[in-house]
Amino acid sequence: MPYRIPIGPYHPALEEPYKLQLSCTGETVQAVEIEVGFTLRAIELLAQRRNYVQDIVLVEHVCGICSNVHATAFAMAAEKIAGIQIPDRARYIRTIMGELERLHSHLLWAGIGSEDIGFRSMFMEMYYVRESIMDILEVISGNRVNYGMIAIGGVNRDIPDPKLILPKVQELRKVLENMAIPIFTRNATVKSRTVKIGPLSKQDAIKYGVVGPMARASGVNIDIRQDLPYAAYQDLDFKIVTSEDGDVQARLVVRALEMLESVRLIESALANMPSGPIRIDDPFPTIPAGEATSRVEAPRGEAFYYVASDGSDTPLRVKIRTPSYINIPAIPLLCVGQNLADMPLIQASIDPCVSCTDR
Amino acid sequence: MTFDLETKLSSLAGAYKLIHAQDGSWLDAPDLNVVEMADLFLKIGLRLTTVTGIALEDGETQLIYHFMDGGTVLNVKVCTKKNVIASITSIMPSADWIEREIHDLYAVEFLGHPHLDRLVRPPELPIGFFREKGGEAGKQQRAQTQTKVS
Amino acid sequence: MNEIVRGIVAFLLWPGLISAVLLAWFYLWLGRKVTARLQGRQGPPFFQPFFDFVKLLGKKMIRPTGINMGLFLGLPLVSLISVLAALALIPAPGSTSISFPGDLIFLLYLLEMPALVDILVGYVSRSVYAQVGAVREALLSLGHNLPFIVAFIALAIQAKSSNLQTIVDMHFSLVQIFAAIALIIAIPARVKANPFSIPNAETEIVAGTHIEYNGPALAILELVHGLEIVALSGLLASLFSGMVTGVLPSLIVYLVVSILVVIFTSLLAASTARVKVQYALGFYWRWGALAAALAVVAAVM
Repeated sequence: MPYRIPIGPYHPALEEPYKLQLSCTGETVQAVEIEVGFTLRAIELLAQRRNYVQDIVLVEHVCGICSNVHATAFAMAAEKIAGIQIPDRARYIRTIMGELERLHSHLLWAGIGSEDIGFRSMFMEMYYVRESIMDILEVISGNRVNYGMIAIGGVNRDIPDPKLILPKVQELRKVLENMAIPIFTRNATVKSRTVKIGPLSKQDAIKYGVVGPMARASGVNIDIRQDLPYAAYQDLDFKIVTSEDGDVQARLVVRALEMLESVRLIESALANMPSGPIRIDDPFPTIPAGEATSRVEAPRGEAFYYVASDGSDTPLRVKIRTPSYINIPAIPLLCVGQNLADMPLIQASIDPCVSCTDR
Repeated sequence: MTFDLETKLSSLAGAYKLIHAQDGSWLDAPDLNVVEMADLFLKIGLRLTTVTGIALEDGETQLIYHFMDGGTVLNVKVCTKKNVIASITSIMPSADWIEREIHDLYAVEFLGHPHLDRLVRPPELPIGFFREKGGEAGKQQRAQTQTKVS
Repeated sequence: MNEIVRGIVAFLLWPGLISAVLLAWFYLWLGRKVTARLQGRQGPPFFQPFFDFVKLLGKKMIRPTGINMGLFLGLPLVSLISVLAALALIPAPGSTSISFPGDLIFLLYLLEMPALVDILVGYVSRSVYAQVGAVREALLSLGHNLPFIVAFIALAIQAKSSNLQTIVDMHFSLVQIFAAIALIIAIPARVKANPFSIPNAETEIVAGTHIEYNGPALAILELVHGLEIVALSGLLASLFSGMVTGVLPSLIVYLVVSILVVIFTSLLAASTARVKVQYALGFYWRWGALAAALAVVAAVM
């Protein structure tokens, strides 16, 4: 007789409200049902009631972790409709902001993943280094989470001094190479919790359309930075990170190596940053009638925006498809047949963002 | 992926007009059979990104199916009939939540969906919460309701 | 002093209630402080475990519906009394405890009580998390009891007696070393510290069996947890305190070994992730059993 055990919407392993209803026999999970919608804010609807400048601020609030991604994607869609070419320096600043955000998101994830397997020390360590990335973001933008950096036609603030950023990201590389990656791949207790846990085959990954590190850890070679390069990625020689294993360990390793790649991209972008204006002259460009889609690689995967305009200052329709929205439905696939003890880690391994999913 | 989209698409029934834009190809085919489309695209290897619902004047809903694979981007515009359209969940499992959400927010019925439950809003509330005009028309409508209230 | 008075003194003063509670708070603080310093944190103030206890005592107790009050409060009390009785039996230096043939067996049963009570508490709580915690506790006790009990069997064989004082007083040999290794392997699981914090995993089953407990009842359970640490580290330390003569030197050895056990447990907890119960069982039946078996072989030879 299977018994039902709820995880969420309020549970210490979930930092955001969504609900996994598990049916278990013994400690083995037989079936999983997912409920979302606990934090619906109807941002898509609100966006078609406000003007484009207000919407930039609004879409930043889709997610507290990847706020910059949402503003970038929205601005890119509007720029495509209006045919705006943003200045080169703005493209580089957008890249640096995106990669810093990826670093702090992945570090947050590594911390939460460690906490979920009861590895407190690693949690503390990851949050400690994450704090230095947050400091950089605060130095650049003045804010810790919703940066307000992106404007239609460029960025709002310049990065005045690369010396502020470089030492801290280089320090992060040292922490990753000398401590985090060795511990995550060699510590026996960590390995016993991650290797061959929560597997997702390449076929299922394609069928369910999962995106981001989750897809790349299952051997699917997709990354918007490579497929449809935006900002300055085509100049910086971006290298994709994939793994064939498809388990939690692979997702850990893919994210860790992606952080190293982010550090490299930031260094390279800072070294090659062109001078010039950071945004176009017109502060409030008119968006003509039209429609456009834009895709940006968020820390969790591909973020998709569709914007339709009728030529007024208010968009006709704004569609937001966040990466977690497409990744979370794949959770039952990972969980069935697994151990109850692994549930928090498996669901954390896809880095679900419920704030994004509910919008 | 390199393939000729136009020849592939010509096998699909339904009026169509392919437009190449800066952000990929747009296919305007209001009467397209979406199940055939999903079948074909699954074989080609296009990944369903999402479906956008847009409420139209006459109570219908325009659905834009967004696909991509590598650098190929394809957007297919389809229109519902009496706010009903076939479900593609049985072919592409990734459409499951997308169709549930559009049902919840735009009151579209998806025929053949295995469990068309509410996704984001509580079951007590009516469906079709997002059926509201955007842009200039929406602004005027809101201005009118506001004057009525005051 | 007649035997009853000696028993009462052992139960209430040393190594029983008063000294054990003070030591328990000290060890809890030490463990938390060591962990905190390893993780780059400040750590709690010295009196924090005492504050925690007093705070919980002052709280209103909320009993879940459908649970008998006697059971709800009685189980923690049974656990407390058993662990105090076990402490009174431990042959700590300067202890006035009564020693009788077969007290080792009695001690082992008493030390098993907190785990049994935790399992019962889990089932009584009528919470699905607590029940999963209880199952895990039961499984885990199958693991750590193997090295724990076999180590004492080896000591008893060596001493040709099941009297604790005889075991402690016997000539120091290889048997004690292997038995001590087996015990130190068993201790992290017995006190539910990482990597064996399986029955009380917060992120998986919301702290497990104690989930429905609060207020004074939880205070008692937390105190029992501290006393278990005192009892187990003391038991291990008493094996070594027989090495030196005189009450004061052996008392120092006793305390130093106990503190080392606490520090070792904290270091281990800080450097590991929580493993799964199957892995823990595999570990104990392989390596724990090996250490215990070596102790038995050494004793028989």
